[in-house]
Amino acid sequence: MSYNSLENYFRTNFSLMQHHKYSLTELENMVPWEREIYVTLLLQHLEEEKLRQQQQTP
Amino acid sequence: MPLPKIEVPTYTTELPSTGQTIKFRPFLVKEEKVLLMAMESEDDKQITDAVCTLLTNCIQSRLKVRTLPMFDLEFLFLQIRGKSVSEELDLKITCRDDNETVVDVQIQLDDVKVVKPEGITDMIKVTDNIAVKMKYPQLDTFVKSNFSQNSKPEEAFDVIIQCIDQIIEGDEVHEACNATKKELNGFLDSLTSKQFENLQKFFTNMPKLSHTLLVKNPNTGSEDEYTIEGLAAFFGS
Repeated sequence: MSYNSLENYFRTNFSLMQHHKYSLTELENMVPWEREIYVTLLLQHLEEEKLRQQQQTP
Repeated sequence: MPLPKIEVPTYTTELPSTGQTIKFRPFLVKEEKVLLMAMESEDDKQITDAVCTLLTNCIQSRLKVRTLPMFDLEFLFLQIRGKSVSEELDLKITCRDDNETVVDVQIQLDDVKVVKPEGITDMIKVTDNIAVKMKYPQLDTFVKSNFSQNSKPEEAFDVIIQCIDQIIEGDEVHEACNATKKELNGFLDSLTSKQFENLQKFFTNMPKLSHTLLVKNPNTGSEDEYTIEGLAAFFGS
C-alpha cells in the first residue's frame, strides 16, 4: 500500500482538505498514484514558498 | 438516462491459469482505505471480504474471484496494485556472500510472471487403488499467506484438507465437498509419511509469482542470482 498506516492516511487527507481546499470526495476518488503526485507537488510548492520567504526576510 | 462516464483507465492482462483476457481498472483511494482498515483490524474474515470486494470491483470481466486459484489472485492483485500505486517496486536485498551488505534494487512489476513447473499433475496416486485429485488453494489461503498476521502452523493441515477435490477409489469417486472435515482428517491421518509427502509436493510445486534478478555486491564485486517468490515477498509482509 502507498500509506504505511491508517493514521497516516487520515492525517494526509485532513491536511489536504484543511490547508489546500481539496474535498474528501475528490481525494477518495483519485487513483492512489494520482494522490501521491499531488502530495509531492504540494510539498515541492511549500518548499519553494519557504525558500522565497527566507529570501525576502532581511 | 445519461451515458456512463469513464473516470479511470482500464487495462487488460491474461489470467495465468487459463490465458483468459481479463479487463481491470486500478483501485481508488477509498478502496485502498477499506483494505487498510481491514488489515489494521487483524480479523481474517474482514481482510478476506475486503480483498474479495477490491478484486471484484476492479475486475471488469466476468470472473468468480472466490474460486480462482491462489496464484491467479496473487498475479491479479500485483497487476492491479501496479496500475494503482506504482509499476516500480523498490526492494532491499541482503547479499548472500557476506550476509550483511544491503543493496537497493528496483523491479518492474510487469516483469513479474507466474512460473508454472512442468510435469505437475493434480492427480496424486496414494496406493495402487486410491488417488487424490487436488485443487489449488483459493481466496482464504491467499489472504492468510499475504495479509494476515494470525496464521498458525496447524492451519497448513487445514489448507491440505480444503484443497482435496476428490478421492478416487477404484471406480468410485468420493467428492470432498460431501465429506466432513473429520472424515477428511481421518483420511489424512491414515496416510504414511511417504504418501503425505506426495500430497505436500503438490503445494511446493504449485505455480507461483516469481522474479529472478542479478544483484552485484558493491563491496565484494560478486554477482549472484536472487529469486523472489510469492506476493508477500514482493511487499515485504
